Amino acid sequence: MMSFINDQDGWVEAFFQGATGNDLVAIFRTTDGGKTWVPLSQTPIGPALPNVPTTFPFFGHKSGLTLVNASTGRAAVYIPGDSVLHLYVTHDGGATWQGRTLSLPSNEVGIAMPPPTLFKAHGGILPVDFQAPAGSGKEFLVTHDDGASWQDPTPIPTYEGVANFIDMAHVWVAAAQGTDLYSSSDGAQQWKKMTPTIPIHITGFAQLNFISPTTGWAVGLTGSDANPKAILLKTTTGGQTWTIASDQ
Amino acid sequence: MSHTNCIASHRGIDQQRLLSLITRVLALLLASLILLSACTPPSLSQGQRKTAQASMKLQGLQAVQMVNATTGWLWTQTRVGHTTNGGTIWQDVTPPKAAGTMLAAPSGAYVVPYVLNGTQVLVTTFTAHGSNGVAVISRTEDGGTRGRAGYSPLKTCLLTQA
Repeated sequence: MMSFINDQDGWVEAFFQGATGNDLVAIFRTTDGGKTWVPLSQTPIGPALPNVPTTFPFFGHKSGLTLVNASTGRAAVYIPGDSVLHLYVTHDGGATWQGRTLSLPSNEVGIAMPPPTLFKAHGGILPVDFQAPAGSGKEFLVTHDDGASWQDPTPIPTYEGVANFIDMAHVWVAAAQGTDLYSSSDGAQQWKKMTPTIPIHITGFAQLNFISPTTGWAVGLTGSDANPKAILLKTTTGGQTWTIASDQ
Repeated sequence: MSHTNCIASHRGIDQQRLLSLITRVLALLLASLILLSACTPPSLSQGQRKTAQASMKLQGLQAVQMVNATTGWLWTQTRVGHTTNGGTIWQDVTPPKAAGTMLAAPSGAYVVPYVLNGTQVLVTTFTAHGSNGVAVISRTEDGGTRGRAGYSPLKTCLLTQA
């Protein structure tokens, strides 16, 4: 998974192989738009790149990294079924990484966690799918102080539903089954449930891509499990109504 | 007097010839312009040129990433598309296939784009390399204006699991 801070400076967390739930990866950096990549860090045991320090954690699944500037970035590491999430931070452009843990609310265990989306001005959002005795769902851990502290706003019952956010306030989440959508305009504190109008039968949303509070595109699933198909949809009403976006 | 008239008369003839010549040159120019306008197609904007093309098929659609209301990218399992008209028409801007047997990424896709902006995208493809695989990263700078010819294969390859 890549992360660029401009069209020249980028990083990639390159997956080499997995070992009983522990992904072996290396962190590479480019400063010339991808022409050359220099290894900065790797996990112990593998990939065993010569003369590259083993400063990245061995354990757990790695879901990617996000750099916010040339020095600071975060990488997410998680163990499915664990109640603790692990965020690693670099302040030297990816050469060394320091870990910290984030505890989920009691009785919750994390199942999947993409890397955090970091915004300018010290903000960031970390979506987490969780399971709990009271029911599974999704929550968005939010930081406003560059990761020093993370708040846990209101979770929603959309376990493994796709999510999208354009800033620290505007968030959309699709139900994992069906076409219901949830939107928030206050950083996942309060949610509005929508049953959108769609001109074609879809079984669910596979992806959401908003560019403003009103305008967005989505990949809608049609067909069956045996013969899955997808269609491109567009909304200009914040997800309330959708049109077919292209002659497909 | 007559001499003067004669001169005047000669001058009158010269003026007539000059006017006639100018008229013929102007007529020739006008005819040339008409011919040129008939032979040259009207100037098309980039968006209009793309509209004239058939949109790529979106079979196996995986994801869309718009940069603004008009410009963005999408990808299927095997193809990459670019739009400049809000997603109505998609131009196929899939990078040239790397040599060797293509492998799917863990997501099942054979192309993994990373969008930098409206004109630049990095596309990773995976090919078999012995018991391992190689990730080949290509980059386009022109939003697909030159189609597949606009890609620069980047030389560095990253080893990954086959």
